[in-house]
Amino acid sequence: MDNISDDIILALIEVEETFEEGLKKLIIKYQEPLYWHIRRMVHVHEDADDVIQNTFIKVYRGIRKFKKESKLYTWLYRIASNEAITFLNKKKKAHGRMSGDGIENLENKLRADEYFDGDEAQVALIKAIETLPQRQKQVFRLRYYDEMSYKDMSEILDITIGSLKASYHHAVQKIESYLTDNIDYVR
Amino acid sequence: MSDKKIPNGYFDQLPDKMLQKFSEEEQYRELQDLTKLLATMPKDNPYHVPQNYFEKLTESTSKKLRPKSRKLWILISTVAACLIIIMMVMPGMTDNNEDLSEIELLDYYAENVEELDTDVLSELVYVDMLDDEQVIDDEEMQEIISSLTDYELELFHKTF
Repeated sequence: MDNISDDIILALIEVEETFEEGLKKLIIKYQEPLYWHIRRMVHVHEDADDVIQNTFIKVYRGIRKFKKESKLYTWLYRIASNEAITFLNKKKKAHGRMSGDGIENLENKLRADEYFDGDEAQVALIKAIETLPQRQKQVFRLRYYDEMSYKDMSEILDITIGSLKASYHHAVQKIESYLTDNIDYVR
Repeated sequence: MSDKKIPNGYFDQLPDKMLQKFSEEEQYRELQDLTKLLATMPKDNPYHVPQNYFEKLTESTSKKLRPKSRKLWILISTVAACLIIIMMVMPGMTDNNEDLSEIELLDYYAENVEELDTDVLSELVYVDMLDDEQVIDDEEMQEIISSLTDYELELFHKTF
């Protein structure tokens, strides 16, 4: 991640003459973490590419109104998460609800993807996460992959820290149980 | 104190870096307490991207969001939007008035169509720039209007 501080980025964005420079620095700093966050939600590169671009369009349109009441990066994650969920909902509507079969289809899709080379355990983990309710998926991914603090997660998801901890613990238990049943070397 | 050089802003960024490390440490311990299985699984990223994807993403996204021709673009789009509306609302008119200039068409529109929904305008103004879901809210519309020059404003009011 680029080392420039968020305060400097926001200061550049506030001034008309340096707005574009600030926006570019924001994109350079956050495109990778946001992309990977989105990619873990939508799985396929082409879809993640669409969602990240929509995310930055939303950021562009809202950045002047950003009130600094939250951290810049939690605000960005919130937009990215919402964009990815909107995308997935649209897709679900178009192709029908994801069922047990849908999760199997996901495995086929991953295996056929030239930009994916996960092993058995990684595929099982992705499938295990997909079996969780939407909110638990978000909580698990932010905590496990993005290694985010509960405080920041609370800003992104607008949930109390206590509820987040409970949700993460439930998610971990369900995932462990799924992995135990589905990975050969764990059984 | 040593006068050895350190990277710019090093001490400003150190607290955040340390907090991030503490958070990772806490997250790892928590995971170990909850499940040995997940705690011992490697976290390698199984997803990849095409070569130079992020370099290209920075360029293409920055280009897409470049605001410099925004005002001119809005003016052009507004005129284009009017023409589209006229053709939609008055299908017979264009047949009978093929020789009218754009200004004459705008005058005709201003005299004959009393109201235009701002949502319709928003959709039309941004139709090429953003995806089909994104429309300008009232606050942003006010911002756009306030950024127009007197001439543009006059044309805008004359039209709408």
